Amino acid sequence: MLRFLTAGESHGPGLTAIIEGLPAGLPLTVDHINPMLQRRQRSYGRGTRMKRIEKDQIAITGGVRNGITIGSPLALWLENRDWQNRKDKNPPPKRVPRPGHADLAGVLKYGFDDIQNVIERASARETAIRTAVGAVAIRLLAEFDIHVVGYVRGIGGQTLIDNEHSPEEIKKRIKSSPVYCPDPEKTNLMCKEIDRAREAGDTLGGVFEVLVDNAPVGLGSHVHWDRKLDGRLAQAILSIPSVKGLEIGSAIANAAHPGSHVHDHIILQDGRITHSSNRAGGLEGGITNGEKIVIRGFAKPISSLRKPLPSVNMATKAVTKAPYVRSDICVVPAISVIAEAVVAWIIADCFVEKFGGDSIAEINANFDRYRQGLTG
Amino acid sequence: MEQTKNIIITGFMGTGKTTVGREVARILAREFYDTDEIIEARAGMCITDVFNLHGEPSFRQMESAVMAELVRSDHTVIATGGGTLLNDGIADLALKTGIIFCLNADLPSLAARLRLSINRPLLRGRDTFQSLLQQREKSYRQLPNQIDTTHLSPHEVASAIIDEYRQLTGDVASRA
Repeated sequence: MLRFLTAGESHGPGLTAIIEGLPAGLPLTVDHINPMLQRRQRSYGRGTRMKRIEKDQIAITGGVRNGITIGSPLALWLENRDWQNRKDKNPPPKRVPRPGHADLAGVLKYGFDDIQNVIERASARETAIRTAVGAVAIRLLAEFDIHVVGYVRGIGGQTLIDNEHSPEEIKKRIKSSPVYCPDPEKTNLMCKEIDRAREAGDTLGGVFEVLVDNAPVGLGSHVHWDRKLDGRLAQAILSIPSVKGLEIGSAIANAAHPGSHVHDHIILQDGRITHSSNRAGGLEGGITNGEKIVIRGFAKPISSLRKPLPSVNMATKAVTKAPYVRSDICVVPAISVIAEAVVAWIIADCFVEKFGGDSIAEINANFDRYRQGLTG
Repeated sequence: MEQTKNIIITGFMGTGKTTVGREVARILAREFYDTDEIIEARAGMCITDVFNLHGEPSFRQMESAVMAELVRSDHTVIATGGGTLLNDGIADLALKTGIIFCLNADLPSLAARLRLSINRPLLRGRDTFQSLLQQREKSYRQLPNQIDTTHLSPHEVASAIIDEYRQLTGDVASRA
């Protein structure tokens, strides 16, 4: 079984993750993790116009020896470079909760005077270390030729209607899109939307999608509600800050059509039993059915400083507004990277659950035997 | 319900705007905003680098934008940068929505306090420092509510600001 924990706050010394259950024999270096962290940090619409890009750099402090995992817990450390400058500053307690954030509920739940105690951990900064954990999962899945790609389908009013590209093709195309959208024309329109929003002092939400290619049939289970893969994937996606909705396959469109139009037929093709279409998004009854897994998420626009929202000062009870220091206009591309990471983790966990072993070699042997059984 | 005015603290560098501002916010349980800090967070670099990479006019533009956003709120404490309110447009904006307090101190005190901090783009030496102060002195003196911080601790300055604020606004809710 794979499991992980993260710790660390957004303005503390840094973020920590420990992954336990990783099989031995997996080649793993910081170069497998850092590029994903950088993709998360630098997309069009993040407040990076004037940034001297301070790149997130992961350090592996346990679990790897000579570039290969040794089966012991993998420890990751992501330093917060800003900390040295900020650690002696002594800001006064924050008293005005921001609408749409954990501020109010968090302060009441934990009995704090200073809202900053909630903001520190609730901040999306934590997604950086979860992205690192996901990068490790992606490395693991690659050993078994399973690939995950997250990309952007919509920003503001600009949406990609159809995607006809393979996951591999998408991975290539988003490299040349500053908003990680595989269509160059849509990319241009999305960037213009972001520019318009920036001028207007507003922010944008959007739609992202994650595809899992080549996952074997049989991950997850139908036998108990909490083993159904749909639910586990949904929990991972909805736990990303700003994500408020999700669909598997074309769920929303399907809901508006009669059953005769909506179900994927089971067919025989080249001697193999397969599906005629994939509206189900690769999951049936909570189990992967051998088709591409398709999950779509919907992210709300983040709060903006230029139009501060009404709130109340919790200490003085003064009715006031909550200005909010942010410079990001749109973080949907960053969210698509985080989503790729969290989905990879869930798939990797299910994979190891089914084909478990202490080493990559052992897992491979189990996986091979299973695949032979499928075709037999 | 009437809006509670912002307390806006300005003055030459080294007069204690940020330190005093934090103290006032702590005592009154108000939100505290430091325009230099916000600019640094947005630009992703320190003020010195903003000056070096983008020039002073760019910096002043960012400063205007931040002030325009902050004054939309009320019931806050705002510490400005040294040159922020020397622009008439911004000064007017600040006056409409807040009570301005201008801190000052004598030259030896400022020099002593600033020796502890080297990240000041407009300071290249004692002469520059002195001439910049002289240049700006007249404009600062035109701002309301002058407070000499030469011999006062940050807490004493904060108390002075709060007392003056209460007198000016009759705001009993801001009783410490």
